Amino acid sequence: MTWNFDILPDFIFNGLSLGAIYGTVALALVLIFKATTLINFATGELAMLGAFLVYVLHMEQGLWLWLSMLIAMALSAGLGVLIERTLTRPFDPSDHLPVVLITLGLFLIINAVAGDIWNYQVRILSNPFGQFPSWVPSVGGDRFIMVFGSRLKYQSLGIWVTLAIALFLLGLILNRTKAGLAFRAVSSNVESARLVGVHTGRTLGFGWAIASAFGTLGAVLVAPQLGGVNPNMMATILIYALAGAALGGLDSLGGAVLGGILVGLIQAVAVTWVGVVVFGQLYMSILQLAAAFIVILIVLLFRPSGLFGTRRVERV
Amino acid sequence: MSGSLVVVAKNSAEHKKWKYVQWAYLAGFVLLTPLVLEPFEIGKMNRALIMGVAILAVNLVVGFNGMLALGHSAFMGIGAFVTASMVQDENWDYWQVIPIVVIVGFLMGVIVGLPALRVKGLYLALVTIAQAAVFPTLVNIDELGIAKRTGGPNGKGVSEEVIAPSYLEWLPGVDGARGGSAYRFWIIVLMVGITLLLVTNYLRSRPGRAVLAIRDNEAGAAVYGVNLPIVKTMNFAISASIGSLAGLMWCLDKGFVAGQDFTFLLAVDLIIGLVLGGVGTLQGGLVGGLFVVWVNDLTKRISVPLGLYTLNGDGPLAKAIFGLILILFTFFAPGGIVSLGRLINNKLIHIVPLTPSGESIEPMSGFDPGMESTRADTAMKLSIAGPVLLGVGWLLMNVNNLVVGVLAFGLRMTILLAPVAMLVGINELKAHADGNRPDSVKGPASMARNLGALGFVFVIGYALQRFVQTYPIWDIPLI
Repeated sequence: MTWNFDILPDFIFNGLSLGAIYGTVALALVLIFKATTLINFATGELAMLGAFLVYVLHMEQGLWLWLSMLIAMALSAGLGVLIERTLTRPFDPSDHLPVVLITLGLFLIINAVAGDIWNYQVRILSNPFGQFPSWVPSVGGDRFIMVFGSRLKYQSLGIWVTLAIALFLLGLILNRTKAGLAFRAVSSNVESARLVGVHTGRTLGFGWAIASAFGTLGAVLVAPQLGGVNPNMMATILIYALAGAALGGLDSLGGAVLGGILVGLIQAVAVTWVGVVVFGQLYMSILQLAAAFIVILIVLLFRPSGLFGTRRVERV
Repeated sequence: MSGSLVVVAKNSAEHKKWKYVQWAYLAGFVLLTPLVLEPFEIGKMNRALIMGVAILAVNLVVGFNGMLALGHSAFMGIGAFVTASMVQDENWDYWQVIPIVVIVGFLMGVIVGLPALRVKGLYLALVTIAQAAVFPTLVNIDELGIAKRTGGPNGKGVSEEVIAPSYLEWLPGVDGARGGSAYRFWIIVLMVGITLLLVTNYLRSRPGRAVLAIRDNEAGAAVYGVNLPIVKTMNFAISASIGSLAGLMWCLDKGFVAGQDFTFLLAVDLIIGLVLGGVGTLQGGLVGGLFVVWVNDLTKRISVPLGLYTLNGDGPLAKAIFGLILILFTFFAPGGIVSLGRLINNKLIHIVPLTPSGESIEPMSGFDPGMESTRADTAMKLSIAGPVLLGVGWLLMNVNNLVVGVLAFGLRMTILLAPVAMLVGINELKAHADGNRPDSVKGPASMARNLGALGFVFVIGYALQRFVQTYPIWDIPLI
């Protein structure tokens, strides 16, 4: 047993950047849960589809990466609106079963269609943060800087900055626009919102749109870590994101991000660093996904509403 | 009501007759399966029954308790791996492993269910989906002897065959010898029957009624003194133990278990089977299991050329078809196939409930259409439909070997409709003798009776012929 603290920052940085991505996907889950108390199991597949759109636009059509990302986010937002309008709105929102079944069906369809078009091989998608741009003064190398004697990858930095900007924009949309106000009203109380004249259906579509766009962002950011895009890329990410959302509280947007980051840290530090480096047992790396499962169980046992979620009170 | 062919009072002698007909259909279906089907098709039937038990387990939570469980693949996996390990490594008998599997499944159900079921909402779905995703990875852990027990990524083969109780040895297909899909079919049928019986009784018991009460009104059930977390968790644990039992049957049937058989996709298959069959019905599981296996098989044969692109059901698109079926059923037939079947059944037979004193709410004669009855005509059409299809199928078969499907369909129609037509014909003739029908009824009614009887005899003869073909009884020495 060697407590090798020298490389601990490596694991922390890695955990933080993975966690930021889980947080992004968790945010997509929570945005829909907050408005409809529904867990959208197709979140991961919608995000994967977005990543493939980027792949087509950038790698095949040769568009600028960031432009193709924006186009893909807009397209998947449109797809989200379409799904909300056609597939989920006809159902009574208080009855979970049909809508969850619909999202499961979507999960299968999107995954299979993507598999049919692009096969199940991993396709390389270029990394938006592969190398520092030339105007950045080189500190450690062209892919990382040295912090606490460890390499802080440009990729991690890029993910954090992107997520921060995206969160800032989301905050602006939710707090400064009329649609955002309507969204907050609907997620706090659908009935009252409808009574004061909020168009609930349109607002839920708006929630789906933002959620799909965020999912796409998460998928594009995580692709380089997985070696590229493939139709099954989001299968495990979705589980980590669910754990993050549960940890942060299913109805808290900030909680989702923090929960995702915490799950990333738990995965990288508590499981990989302690298990593999300290105890030297390789099987611990298999337990990464199990850790997410255990996090969900522990959260539900001790704090079902999560760290930042509101406790639900029900009147009969 | 007047649209129904037959109207009977509940629990009357007439109703009992129809119940016997139903049971005869079921028994005939089960008995004929190992005779009529090819061995690999019996294997499919076994798989369908196993899926049926697992779907029944999911139904116990989703359909009868209103909670969402998406991870029963993991319980199946646990049951299968425990069985494989006990039978292969410890030389236990399959029947001895059953209690172990049930207890292990129950405990896993408590561990997973208790945290999630203490709180209201979709949390069970959250936990179980994670459980389904995690399970296949846990199987591969090298330490603690887990991989040795489970076979790790290579899976584990079980060479031992299940031994049937001696009283099963006379059944067709068993033939005194062990092994073979027909042999396993009977063992699986026995297990399915016992499970169904137990679940039916459980749902009628006090805890079972509490489970249903929670589904219908959670707050109301709590007010009436139902301990919500305990009842929900116990129900989930029972469901988990049934899921593990399905895993045992899986191991018994396949003789091979591997972690990648029990992924999230299996859990989704179970949910699809549940929706296809019918959420909240006992028969739904078995029907759903049958259809999941059948649709899976069917989609593999689809190959539609669309210009440059060929729509191929053998590849990933099979899953898309499943997804599409799931969405379509949720939209247009939320009650599943069972509710559609009930719709047709109501057209055929209407059962009038009785007051506690045994009186019909409305006099039974009120259901009799009297002189305007068209029942005889309908019965005649039913009696003709099967044989006509059979004949057309037979002709087509001689023209082109590919359209055997019509023949098979005609045969099934005859099997299903002949007895109905016969009984309705007899009833109508009786009514005519009582002076309740015009004389014009006599022709179609006797035709329905005669053709129906003929079809009935034909079906029995066909079954006997199949039996004799498979088991040449004249070869068996009499002394």
